[in-house]
Amino acid sequence: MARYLATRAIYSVLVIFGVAVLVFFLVRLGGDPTALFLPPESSIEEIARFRRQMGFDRPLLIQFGEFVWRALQGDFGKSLRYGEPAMRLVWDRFPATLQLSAVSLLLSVVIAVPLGIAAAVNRDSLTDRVGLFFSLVGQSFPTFWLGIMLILVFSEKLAILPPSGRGTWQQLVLPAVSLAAYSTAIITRLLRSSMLEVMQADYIRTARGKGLSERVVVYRHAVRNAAIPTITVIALQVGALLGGAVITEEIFAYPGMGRLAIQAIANRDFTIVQAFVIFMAVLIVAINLAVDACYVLLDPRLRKS
Amino acid sequence: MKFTFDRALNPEFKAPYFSRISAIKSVEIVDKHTVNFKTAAPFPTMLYSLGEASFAALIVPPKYVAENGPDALQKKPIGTGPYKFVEWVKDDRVVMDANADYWGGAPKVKKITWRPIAEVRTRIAELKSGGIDVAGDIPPEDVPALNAGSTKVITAPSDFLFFFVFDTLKPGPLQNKLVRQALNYAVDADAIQKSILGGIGNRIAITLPTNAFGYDKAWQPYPFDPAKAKQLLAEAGFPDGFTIPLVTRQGRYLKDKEIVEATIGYLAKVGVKVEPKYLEPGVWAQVSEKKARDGISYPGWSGLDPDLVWYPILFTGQYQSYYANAELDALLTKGRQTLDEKERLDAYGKAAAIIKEEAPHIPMFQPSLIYATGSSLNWVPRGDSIVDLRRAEFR
Amino acid sequence: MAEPLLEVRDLVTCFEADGGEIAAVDGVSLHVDAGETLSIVGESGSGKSVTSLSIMRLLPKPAGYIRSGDISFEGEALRDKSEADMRRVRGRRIAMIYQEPMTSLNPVFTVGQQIMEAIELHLGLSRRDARARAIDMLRLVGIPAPEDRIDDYPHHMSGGMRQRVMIAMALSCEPKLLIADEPTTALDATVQAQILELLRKLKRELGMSIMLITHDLGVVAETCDRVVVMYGGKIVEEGDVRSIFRKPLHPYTEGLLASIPRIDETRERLHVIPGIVPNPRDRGAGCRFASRCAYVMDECRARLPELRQIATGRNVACFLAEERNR
Repeated sequence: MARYLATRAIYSVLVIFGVAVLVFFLVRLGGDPTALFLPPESSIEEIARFRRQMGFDRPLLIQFGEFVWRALQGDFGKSLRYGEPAMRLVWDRFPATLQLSAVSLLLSVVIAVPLGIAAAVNRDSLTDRVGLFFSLVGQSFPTFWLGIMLILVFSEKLAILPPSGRGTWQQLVLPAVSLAAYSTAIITRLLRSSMLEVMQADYIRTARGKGLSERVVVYRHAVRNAAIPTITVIALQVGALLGGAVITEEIFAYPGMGRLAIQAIANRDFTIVQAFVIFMAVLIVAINLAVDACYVLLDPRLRKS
Repeated sequence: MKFTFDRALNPEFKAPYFSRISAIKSVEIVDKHTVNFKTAAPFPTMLYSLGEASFAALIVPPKYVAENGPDALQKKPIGTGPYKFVEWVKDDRVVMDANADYWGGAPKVKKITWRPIAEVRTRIAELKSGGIDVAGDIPPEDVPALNAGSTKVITAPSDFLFFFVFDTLKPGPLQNKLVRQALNYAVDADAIQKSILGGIGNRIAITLPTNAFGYDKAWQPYPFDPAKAKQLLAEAGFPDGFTIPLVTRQGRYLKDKEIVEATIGYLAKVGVKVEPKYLEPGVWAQVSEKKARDGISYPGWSGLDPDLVWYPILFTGQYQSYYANAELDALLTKGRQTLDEKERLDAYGKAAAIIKEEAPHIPMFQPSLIYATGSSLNWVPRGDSIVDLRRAEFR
Repeated sequence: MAEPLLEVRDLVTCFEADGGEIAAVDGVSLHVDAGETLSIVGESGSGKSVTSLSIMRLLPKPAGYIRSGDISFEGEALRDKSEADMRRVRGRRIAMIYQEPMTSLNPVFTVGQQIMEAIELHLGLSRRDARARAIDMLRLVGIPAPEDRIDDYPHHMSGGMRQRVMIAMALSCEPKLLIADEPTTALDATVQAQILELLRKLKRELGMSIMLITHDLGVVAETCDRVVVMYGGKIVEEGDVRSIFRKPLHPYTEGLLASIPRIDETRERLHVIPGIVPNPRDRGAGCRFASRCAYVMDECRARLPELRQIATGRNVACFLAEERNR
């Protein structure tokens, strides 16, 4: 187990390094930020001067080496736009994103788990049909579109929920719902299909043959087994939620990391983009490690005696 | 004042908009209310460059900076404006209170909250549900709906210019004046304005804002005349048209993609096949630096004086200029070296005639800034995109 | 003769499939006497497993359902019982073991938890007592060091061990009837013999009845008192084990007997009878075995032979039965 975790840890470091390489070079593919920081009428000399001041004129590999060296010391550079340490700017906005993602995940699980189980247990029933319909809808509607629709209906027409900002719980409702839709759909579908598979299993027949009530059969014997593949998906959804939060935050003007990242991309604020992507990579790698640990708890077959 | 400019003019300070004030050599204090600017050469557009919208040197208080250090201004700014800074919740809001002691008189709107709401539907929804009072950057297609009920639309002509640039420096059909004129005849800019911009904004006859210094309302754009265009193309030796690249960005300016596509459609009708390339902003900048906007480009520009517009984009050898004409250069140089308005008007009038005839651009529009507000707000927006609420009030 | 422990009369169990209805069990009557081992023999698709699931009322819902017939257990009509009452029968009075010991145990619970679950439910024992009883049961079915193995997960055990656990679980509440559905099919020959021996021994010790469902007449010979042979959802032959082995009257039984593998050769499925069980949809008016029968006559294809008594306790559904009995 310890060895397994050690291997995973090494892989994690490699993954994060790979992400760092990718983000560093990709972010520079779109050109440097000089043009966006200087007025359009700047002369070629002024552009060159700015570039020299910022160090953008040096070979990329040297810049990369410096970036890695500093990042190892926890220094991700200062934001070109805000003049503050990039990682701190990301970190400052993390609580907002965490709140949005956590509420969305909670919402997804609270809706998806009972719905997925109910749909599977009452296969082809009305519950099942309705559940399938909504999960199809939730999966196929882009977050962006759904967000706009929610705003149109609940803010513009009904005027019962504010469409943007952060601070009150009302402001959290629309972004959380639109962000949760996709995850809810995925988790419902997956839990439903795992439950259907598990309910066909021989050990479920055994459990029924023992005289256990259907409730015990479903919730004790089936759910625990169906949970194993579902947990992976839920964990993957954490990544998807954090990623989806980028668009959601933009639509609902929610001041989180995603919004910071989108603006940073638009402004070619390299340091923030780098800090954001690496932060996300570390976060997702950590979540995956946690999921592995969860597996061991849920599935005794993975435990070493 | 002197502190502000000494600070901004110091190269160590790395003022991003340094270029706009670099012509100023020094600032001297004359008395309590007077300063004297010394410039290296005549600087007729200096007042534009010192306006709020140019960001080159906003007035800073020396005492505050001295006491709290240079970073304090960024976190808790202090200035001479009509509003006082209250708080800044990053990416969420900036709150300001009216400055009762403002030299121009206390503003009537007592508190302003600025909120960045990038998504236009969200902005409109906030306005409609009463969450905000003013929303900027309203798409033309939303104007009719917002001009009803509890909201209204206010527009102001911007300082901005939409136009196409021909690369006349590299060999090719665009070096032929007749071809350039033909392409001007080929495009129905009025129809594009009507269908894509909802009729909002001003049609420009020449690449200059209609409210800029020297713009003559009598100037007329090339009329839409595809037959004439074809005839000129044939005269120029291209009876079957030609193929030409076009570079632009997407989502940079209001309806840029739609305008470019519509224009390409008109050009196709006279036999000119345009191959558009949509560039990332950073890539666009790199292409520009290499002077590699081949064929036709759609750059966008702003400025309320011919010197701010024509000099950088038409003067021979300027890095954003794709045109070279010694006669025009002489006129532009004359215009920027004198402070005499008459002389300037004369020089720019002659320059305009050359530009019209030589057709280095297809001038399109001066778009409007479109704001939507609650119907009770009384407010006249400015054209330079600065939301100035000094005179605004709720009825 | 005393009333049988279990009596099934004219059972018809249907499955809904693709808009059609298929009678998987088509008018079966049988009985199991107290202390008796009855074997139901047939190929897959013959309806033998569906018969057992009908008795337990564990047919897959909503596709499968009992159309008609009576099932009486210890004088109680099982079809009339509520679901809650039925749960007090399952595991307590009728227990089942299954073909696949590898998958019949829940992988996420220890074997002890799974045995104790039934004990706590039906016998109302405390956790401690239930655990003690579970250990006793594991010892009874021949699992060494049951005090340790009780906390093992199923994946720690071999197939034979798991089947022993299944048996321990089934017998933990001392049921009157054990339905064993192909209990040894998935096991290799040595383990198979051990399990059958165990069942025989436990039946003697606990005084229960067993309904052994199998396709393998070799298993039947060693274990059972009476045999019911099923084909195409119907009983084709019924009798005590000795007379059936001595003189099979139905050609199908004859085929099954011919296909018993010898202990020293690798097992193969019934390769001796040519053809396959016909699709229930394609059942004609005649004998369902007609298409594969070596003795088939014109009459067999036209009319379904009734199951009828040929001798005492000997029922056969074949037109040639009397002739072959001579």
